[in-house]
Amino acid sequence: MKKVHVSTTINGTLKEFLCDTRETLLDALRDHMLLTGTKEGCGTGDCGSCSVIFDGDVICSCLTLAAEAEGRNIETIEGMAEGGELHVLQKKFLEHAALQCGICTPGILMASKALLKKNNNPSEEEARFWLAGNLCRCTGYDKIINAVLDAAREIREESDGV
Amino acid sequence: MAFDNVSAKSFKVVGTRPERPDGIEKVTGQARFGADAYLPGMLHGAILRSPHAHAKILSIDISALENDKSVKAVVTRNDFECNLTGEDWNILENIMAGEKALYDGHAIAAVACSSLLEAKDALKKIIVQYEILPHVTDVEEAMKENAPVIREGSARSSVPKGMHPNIVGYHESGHGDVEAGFKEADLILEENFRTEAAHQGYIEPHACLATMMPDGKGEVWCCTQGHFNVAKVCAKLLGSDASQIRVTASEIGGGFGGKTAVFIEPVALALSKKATHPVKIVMSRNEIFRATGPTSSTSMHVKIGMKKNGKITAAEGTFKLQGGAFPGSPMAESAMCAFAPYELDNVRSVGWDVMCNRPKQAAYRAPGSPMAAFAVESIIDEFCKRLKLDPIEVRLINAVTEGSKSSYGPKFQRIGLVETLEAAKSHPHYAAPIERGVGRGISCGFWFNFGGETCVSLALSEDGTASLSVGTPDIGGSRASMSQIVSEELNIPYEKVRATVADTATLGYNEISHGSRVTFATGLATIKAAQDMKKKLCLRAAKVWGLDEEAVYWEEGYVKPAGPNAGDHEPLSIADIAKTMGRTGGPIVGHYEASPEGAGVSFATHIVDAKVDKETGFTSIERYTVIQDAGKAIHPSYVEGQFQGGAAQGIGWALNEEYIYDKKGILQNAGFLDYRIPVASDLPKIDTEIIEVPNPGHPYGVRGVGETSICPPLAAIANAVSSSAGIRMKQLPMSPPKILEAMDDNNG
Amino acid sequence: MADVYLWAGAKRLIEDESPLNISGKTVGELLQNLVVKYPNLKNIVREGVSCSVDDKLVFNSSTETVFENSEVYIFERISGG
Ligand code: FES
Ligand code: FES
Repeated sequence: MKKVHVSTTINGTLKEFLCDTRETLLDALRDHMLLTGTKEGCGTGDCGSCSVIFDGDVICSCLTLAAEAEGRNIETIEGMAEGGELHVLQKKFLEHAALQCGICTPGILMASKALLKKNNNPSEEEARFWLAGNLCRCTGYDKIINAVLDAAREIREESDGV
Repeated sequence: MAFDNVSAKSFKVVGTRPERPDGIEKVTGQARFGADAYLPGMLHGAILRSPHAHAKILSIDISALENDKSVKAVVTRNDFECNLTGEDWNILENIMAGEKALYDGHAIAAVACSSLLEAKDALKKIIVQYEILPHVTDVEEAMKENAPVIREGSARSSVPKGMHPNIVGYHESGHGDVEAGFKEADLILEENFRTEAAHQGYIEPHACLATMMPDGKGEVWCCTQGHFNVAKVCAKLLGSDASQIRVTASEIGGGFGGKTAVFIEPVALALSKKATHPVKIVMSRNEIFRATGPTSSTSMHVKIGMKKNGKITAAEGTFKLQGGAFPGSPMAESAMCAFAPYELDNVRSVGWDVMCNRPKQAAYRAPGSPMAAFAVESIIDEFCKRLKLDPIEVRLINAVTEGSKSSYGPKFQRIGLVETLEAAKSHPHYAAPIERGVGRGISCGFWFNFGGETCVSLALSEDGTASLSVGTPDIGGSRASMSQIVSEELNIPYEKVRATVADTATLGYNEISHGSRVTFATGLATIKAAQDMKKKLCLRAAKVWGLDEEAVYWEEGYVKPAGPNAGDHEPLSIADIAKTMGRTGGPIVGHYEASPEGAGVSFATHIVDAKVDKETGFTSIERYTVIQDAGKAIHPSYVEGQFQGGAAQGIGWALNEEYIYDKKGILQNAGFLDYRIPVASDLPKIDTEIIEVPNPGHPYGVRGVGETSICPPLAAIANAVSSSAGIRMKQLPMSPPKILEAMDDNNG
Repeated sequence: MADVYLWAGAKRLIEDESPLNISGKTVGELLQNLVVKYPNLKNIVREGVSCSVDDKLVFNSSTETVFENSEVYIFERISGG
């Protein structure tokens, strides 16, 4: 079977890969680029573990074909910490013990990052609804929501400070 | 040194909330879970599954694959050991069907190809001929005289003679004279209850990467709650030795009991052996629902007699649990936990283990207990309504305390049920006014907790830091709590301890991380290993100083000369001794291995406010509070996390989650879209209160915490919903259609 | 001799009323002696039992000490998640 050539930007770096037309972006990230931080929990768009940021929007990479990545800009969990510094969301997740097993964490962090970009002052309810597509089975979400709201507060303080 | 006694010890590190040692890897995507391993030359395995609930396998035709270059190996039941008996046989029969397919999703054959797409294509070319047999998926139906027989001869010896072959276990416990007790009662209530099977719903699929050489040596990387058990099971099923199969536990993305069972590792090894390449298998979500182990579904009957003042005079319960197409449902646990919170003079509990055409049930947090609590606590709630009694007072009147005789036999040692009830009574949630339309529910819950085989090793590094190797996969932050314990015992900073989950070739056998045993048993072993190390440090210092062992002592991270020699030598720190240990006698390592008992049972009380929309039947949880006895919380954040996680899973089980089978016995909702687990917007804040009534069986007083948290929610929510809707809900889940139906029946 | 109490389901298999007087210095020994005295219990014990010795729950360990006047409850083997 003939493979498709795709060039795309992942975490700021131009990448090229060959894929089967049936493969998803999630397959390409994990199996072709070994970016295994993006997780597969269901493969059907129901759990959000595979969330990545695709031209600025959160999407399920399991529902996106790898070939659709052509010419796009993709952010994954591996690009979240920069220059050896954790992102404020990552720090807050650790501080608030917002992960138990941690399998949902990459997806939830990507979705939260997109939320805070759009709205750096979400209410608890807004955060809960925004993250409703990201399943976590371990925590009951409490500590996750606390971490996200606390990160938002810090982001606001930082931007006020400037 | 009186190391062994529980003392009102003041802790420096235990009880604080440091960041977890595996945290950064997990927030940066570096942590490697089951599916995150790759090897050169690796193949992908896929499994063909039965589309029928019950069928004879007449033939499996793989001839179409023989000339297919993409197919590197095919395995069927014939590729596994054939002389297995007992539970080993059950496991094999479950992971690869023999003569019959016993449930929708039962594995029939497996292939390995260079890519997953190829493997899935190859499965389509396998032709299986089935003779469809009558099936049964309902526990009551399966017990009837004319029910299809799943397998003859599976019954345990406890089952009375002359029962249907699907009835494979019988339990009875209790004491006193129940009939006499009912005569003393002012009011007797009895009711039937049903619950559906729920799945643990861990977000990480089962995944493994396995290599097996033709000589029987194997390597497995997998996500499991018990890698030593994986080695043991794989060796049995493949005719190798446990020591020849080295299993490494990956990070684990949730288990809750469901990853105590083995499903794909032996299949991957068998494929690898044939292909002489590593084989990776990752289950799809559909496969997880159909072919791993959900809980039992139940049918229960409970009868209780009570005095007007709230004192229970007698209690009786029958708990029928189906455990899928195999024996082993936790019906004895249901029967034993059902009445455990209450001191009863007259009690009788009966359990039945029943086989159905469903996947083999697996443990799910406190297996058996939540369903039984649902039945018992619903009736107690009904008494409170009819006799106009306060639900917490009634429970306090009957609550067990130290020395009470338990419903399952022995007396309780020190326990914290009353403390959780008192805390509930004075909690602001309980005092808060109840809004119109909202119902408030209370429930208690009980779980045993376990110890089990445990082995740890604590090595001192030359720079005075310590590496701890444990053999229990970290399912909820245990590396953090174990590091805290080492830090506490050795007086070295938390950051200077590194805890690792060692593979099966490195440590002695460790039982599965189950039964809330890790913080208790591995924690106990870690304390003892640290004490062993302290002893060795003392010996070493004594040797250096030329003194007797008795002439030195350990204090706050230093070895000091004692008595008449005091002051003769400068105290030596761990770092001082570590620096020179190579020259003073060699490496210093603390060990501990044992099967500790005395895990300490635990109790919880939950309070929940729920509101039912009478138009749609939809229930919203308005407020939730968990109060549980942890004995001693090593890392309170992770204890709270266990409380909240258990409550959230209980909310899902109570309101939404269920296995739905159609008339043909095919699972209708094998995916997260139709099997809906709670999402962030479904839940309120879940408030927690940790009660600490020390467990006399642990040096710090630790009790297991991971399971009890799922015991009260089903009942607490049912009680809240029943209040809000104005009808007693006797069936789970209380999904909108079921609530509407119950309201209709009530009006009609 | 320890006082041994069986769960009701097992009690039905023997004639005697609890408590049974069984000797043994450990749980393992006690179970062995129990089966010698009551062969009907053999299968049930083989299929797995847990017990309590003077109110301490003992799920697995056959070396747990049993004293002269210990109270031992025996029930079906249970396990967790
Ligand atoms: S894996 Fe993509 S949503 Fe679940
Ligand atoms: S932390 Fe385990 S699924 Fe979220």
